[in-house]
Amino acid sequence: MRKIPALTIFLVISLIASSCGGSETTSVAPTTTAITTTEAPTTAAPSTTAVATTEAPTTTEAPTTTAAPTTIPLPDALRVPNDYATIQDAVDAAQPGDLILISPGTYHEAVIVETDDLVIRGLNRNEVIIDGQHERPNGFIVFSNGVAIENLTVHSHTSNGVFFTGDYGSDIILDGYRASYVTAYNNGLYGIYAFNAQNGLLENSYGSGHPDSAFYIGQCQPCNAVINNVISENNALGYSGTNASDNLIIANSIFRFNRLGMVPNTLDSEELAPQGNITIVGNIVTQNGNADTPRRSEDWDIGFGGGIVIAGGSGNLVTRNLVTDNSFGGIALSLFFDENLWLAENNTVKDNVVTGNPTDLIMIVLGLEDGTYDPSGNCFEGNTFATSAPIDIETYATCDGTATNTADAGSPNLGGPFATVDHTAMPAPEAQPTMPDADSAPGVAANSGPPEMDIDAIALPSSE
Amino acid sequence: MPAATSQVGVSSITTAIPEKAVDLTGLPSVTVIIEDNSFSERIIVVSPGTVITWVNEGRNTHNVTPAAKNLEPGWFPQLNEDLLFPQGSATLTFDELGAYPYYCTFHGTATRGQTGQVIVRNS
Repeated sequence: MRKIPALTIFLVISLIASSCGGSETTSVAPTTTAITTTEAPTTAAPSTTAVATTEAPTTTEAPTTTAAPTTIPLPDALRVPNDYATIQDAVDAAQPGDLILISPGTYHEAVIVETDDLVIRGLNRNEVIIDGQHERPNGFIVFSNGVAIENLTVHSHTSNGVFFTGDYGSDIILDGYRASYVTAYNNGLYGIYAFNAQNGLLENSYGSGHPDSAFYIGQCQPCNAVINNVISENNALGYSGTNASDNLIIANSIFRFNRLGMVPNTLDSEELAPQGNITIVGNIVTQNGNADTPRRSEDWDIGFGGGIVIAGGSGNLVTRNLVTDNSFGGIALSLFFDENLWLAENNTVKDNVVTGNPTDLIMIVLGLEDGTYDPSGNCFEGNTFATSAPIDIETYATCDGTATNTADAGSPNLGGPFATVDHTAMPAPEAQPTMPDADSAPGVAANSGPPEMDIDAIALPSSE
Repeated sequence: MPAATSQVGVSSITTAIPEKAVDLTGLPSVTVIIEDNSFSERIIVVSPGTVITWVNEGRNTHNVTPAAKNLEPGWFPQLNEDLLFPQGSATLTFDELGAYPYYCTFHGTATRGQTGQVIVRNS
């Protein structure tokens, strides 16, 4: 993995130059500163949209069963609003290891979590609503280790739906996090955002309507994290992960109808560059290139319509994904220009089905003085595809040690500009599958790391 | 360029200077770079009247919000109507001696996450 000072590079970068930011300023000082949950991704459940509209938290009515229960499930749980009027009150009262159960209702809160090993669970994913009203920054901001957020909906916050973060300035990395059965939509930046955090799991969750990505895991090395069985649609980016490296697996998920599907990337604006060594396996990435979605700015449209775009990352494995009908390209490996130029090197694209895209496989690497292009260790093998740039990509960017240079630059036209939609105007999603036994399952803190994944056992998905 | 209006007195300078503080006293102006999601120098020590400029070089929107409540010691006017968009900047001059902790409401709290502090003392 190499970084090259930008000023030393003479290269056709115009297609991505708009991403180069940073005004010249004087800094105060140098600022060098075998998983068992392999269910097939589920599509959004049909039928009604269940969004509570009451201002104050509301409790469900008592069950109408004739036989009174002999025991109260989870008697030690802290209940909202029965025991505590607000989620924040319950969180503040909780001790490490506690379970907080939230009854259906709409909660206008921005919850700050600073206690380790809490499990914060809604009793109904589609009826426990954390509504930021486009006024509050984060539905949940979690600074403590081992916290799980389960079975609820969080929307319309100005920044993020659920935000797991270490105390970056103090060199504290968050250790352990989980989001399960969470629906995040129409938040101002990210849906579920894990930053400067390790040992995490995002699973069985859904995100839509975000001007950045619905799911983000970034600035971590090693990440030791898994994204499994999520659906991300109608966002600027389905998945984004800046400077996320080592032991991050994204599997068994659907990324569709976004501006871009999946974008592991390297940026100088975050620590731990460059990105590298993650695995993308068994996902459906389809029909990205949707302009009826929000975005932060035109910069976010670089690669608009890409399925899986690795921007300035190295050593990644992309295998057994179904990548179809994206408006720009299927799977792309590309250098990326920020303050430095970050190369895409030593990535492996293998055994994917990539069809129906204008260009199925793309590789953009540095040109050499002799006018040829070195694959830079990137290789393509065993993919089902029709078109590539450079052409015949699997005949020269091989994985068996016989790679050769090509004279084809392989840079397709990115197009644009593209239309956009304000995220506050995006529709609410349909109801999503709720967590089984939410009212009786014991709370399990997120302090044991992500599940073991048997990557070899994850098959190519057939279709939605 | 809003000027700080806090009433922090000279006695406040008895506050211990944290070990990681960067001493920039004597400089007429300094810049704090904002990255995602941190302030490049979390704690800076400056002289009264130093012009401090925060520049957002990240991709996220940030803000510089006083940790102290309105008009209490350490309070200062929030910058740029709460928002520092990418590539945006804002400037503030602290005339009074004292400690001014701040944070970004998007990525921190008064005591956790994206926090910073300006300590104003005589050279």
